[in-house]
Amino acid sequence: MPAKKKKKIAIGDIVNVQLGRTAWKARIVEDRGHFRIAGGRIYRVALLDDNLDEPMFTEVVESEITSPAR
Amino acid sequence: MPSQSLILWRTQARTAFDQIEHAHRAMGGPGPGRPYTTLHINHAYVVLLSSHFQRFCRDLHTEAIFHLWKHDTSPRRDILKFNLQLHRQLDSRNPSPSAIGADFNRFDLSFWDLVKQNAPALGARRQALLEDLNRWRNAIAHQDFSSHGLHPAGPLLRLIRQWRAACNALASRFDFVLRHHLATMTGVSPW
Repeated sequence: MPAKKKKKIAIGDIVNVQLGRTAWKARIVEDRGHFRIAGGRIYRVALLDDNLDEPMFTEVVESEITSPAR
Repeated sequence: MPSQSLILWRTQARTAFDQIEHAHRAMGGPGPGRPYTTLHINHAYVVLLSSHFQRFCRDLHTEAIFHLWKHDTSPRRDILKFNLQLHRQLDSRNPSPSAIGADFNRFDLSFWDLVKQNAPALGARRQALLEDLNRWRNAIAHQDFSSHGLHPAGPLLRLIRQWRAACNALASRFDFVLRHHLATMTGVSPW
C-alpha cells in the first residue's frame, strides 16, 4: 500500500501545535516561508482559546505542528 | 555570511526597487502628464520601500528568536520563544525606529544605541531618515498629507533614494549588531 502523502499546510487550516507542555488548537494565518535557521517552514498562527477576547499570535516551525485538527 | 533576512533584502527587495526605478525612467520625457504619473510611481516606491524594510526587520527578529530557541535545551525555551513573539510591533506596525527598538530590545540589549555606536552622527541621521520614510508612508497609505504636515507633490525621487540608502545601511548594521549579540549569548554565531 503506498504511503499516505502528508497534507500540505495551508492558510486557514486548523492545526494542533505543541508549545512547551501545552497543546493548542491554532489557525494558520501566514506562511512565513522557509527559514534555514529554524530548519523548516515557519507559520504564523492564531492560538484559539475561547477565554481570550483577542487572539494571541505566535510563530511555529512546521515540526511543532503535531497534526491537522480537522 | 549574512542572515537569510539580509540576503532577501539584498536580492528580492533590491529587484523590486530597481523595477520601480525602471518604471520611473520609462516615464521619461518632458511630456505634460509626466509629473502627475511619476508622482504616483514615487508614492508606490515609498510604500514598497517601507513594506520591504518591515519584512526585513520581521524576518531578522524571527531568525534571532529561532536561533535562541535552537540553542536552548531547557524546558523554558518554548516559553522564551512564545514571549519574544507576543504582541510584536513589527507584525502590524510600520518599521519605525520606535517599533524596531521595542521589538529588538526584547533580546536584552539597547538596540539603537548599539546600531549607532560605530558612527553616532551618521546613525542618528539614518534613524531620522527612517522616521521620515514612515511618516510619508502613512500619509500616502491613508491619503492624509495635511495632518502629517506634508504636501502630496513630494517626495522627490532624490529623497526616496536617500531613504533607500539609509535602509540599506541600517539593514547591514542590524544584521551585524544582532549577530554579535546572539553569538555572545549562545556561544554560536547565528549566521
